[in-house]
Amino acid sequence: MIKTFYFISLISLILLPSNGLAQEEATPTAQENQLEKIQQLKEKVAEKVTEERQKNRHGFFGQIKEISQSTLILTTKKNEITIKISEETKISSLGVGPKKEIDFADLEVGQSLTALGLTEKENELTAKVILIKEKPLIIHGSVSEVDANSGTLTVKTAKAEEFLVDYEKTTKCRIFEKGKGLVNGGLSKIEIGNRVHLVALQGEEASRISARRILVLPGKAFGVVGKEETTPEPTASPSPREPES
Amino acid sequence: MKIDKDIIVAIIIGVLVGAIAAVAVFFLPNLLSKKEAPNPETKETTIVSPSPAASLFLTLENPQDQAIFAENEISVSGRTIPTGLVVIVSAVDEKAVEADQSGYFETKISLEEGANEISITAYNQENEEKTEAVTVFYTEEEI
Repeated sequence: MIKTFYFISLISLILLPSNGLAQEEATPTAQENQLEKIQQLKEKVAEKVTEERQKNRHGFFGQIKEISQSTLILTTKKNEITIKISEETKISSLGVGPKKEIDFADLEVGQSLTALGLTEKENELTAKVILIKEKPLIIHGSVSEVDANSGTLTVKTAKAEEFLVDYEKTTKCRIFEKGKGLVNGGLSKIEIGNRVHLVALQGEEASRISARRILVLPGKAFGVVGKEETTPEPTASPSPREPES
Repeated sequence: MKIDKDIIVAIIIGVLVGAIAAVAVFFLPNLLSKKEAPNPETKETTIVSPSPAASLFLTLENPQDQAIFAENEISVSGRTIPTGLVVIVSAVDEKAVEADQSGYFETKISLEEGANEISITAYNQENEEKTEAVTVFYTEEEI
């Protein structure tokens, strides 16, 4: 029996180092797992940083109300925003011509601009980009009048506002046709009752605008022109009049 | 050479004990590490199909209001009534698309640099309309 005990011990001793080897073989996997976990953590941290940065990125559009040494007060649709200008702020102007860089000193009260940057406090933005540019009006409604001679059309919106629209030489007009999509059109193709979507610039009068782009929906909004045009139903033949008694 | 029966039994027992120990050392850590929390990235999605009798509606999925983009062409998507006509207008582009049978619509629209208002209007056969508008920004500069 003692012999048996010795043999068991001997065999176990022989096999244990092989267990150790198995463990050593497992170690690289464990290390790989740890490295992978570290990598995942790094990715999560980077993701969180980007997320935070994304959260702080903001843009505002409005008109300059006030200009001081290195800040602007911008009146937006909702509220007033303080725009902080730094040396890093890139200020440009986008007019009719190409975009050009301008100085802070060139800014004027009343100008419309887009400010993009990072917010640290509510209603305060540290601007990275300032872009001086008007934002066009986007309206839609139905055509109540077309005057080909004066090159205008009158559009009534759902809010009962009425606009006199100047159709310019540069106005881009596209008409929706069922089955065809948008096709090029012109003022002569616009009819009373058509629905129109307009991109326009405000004229001197509040109710007069200059069309930059027009999308026309003829007839019903789904479009009645094109291959799926509805065919008129045949009119019933008149029944012979019964003799008056 | 004669080998004692006890010795053979001892060898077998020794091999078995060693093997069990090796197997236990090798597999135990893996078995324990498998008892981790389920993957948090698993998302449950519920698709609600609009009822055919639903009145005109318009839900915008993309883009988010006030979003800032580095590309001048973005995707506009959302839901309305099945096969409803949707008109999408930006300052420099316009699209008219028909929603699919499930009411889903998607198209691309171009932006100009700076602030861009995007107007999305859905129509039904009765000429009723629903409009949503969002303002997004496009710049090539890094913010």
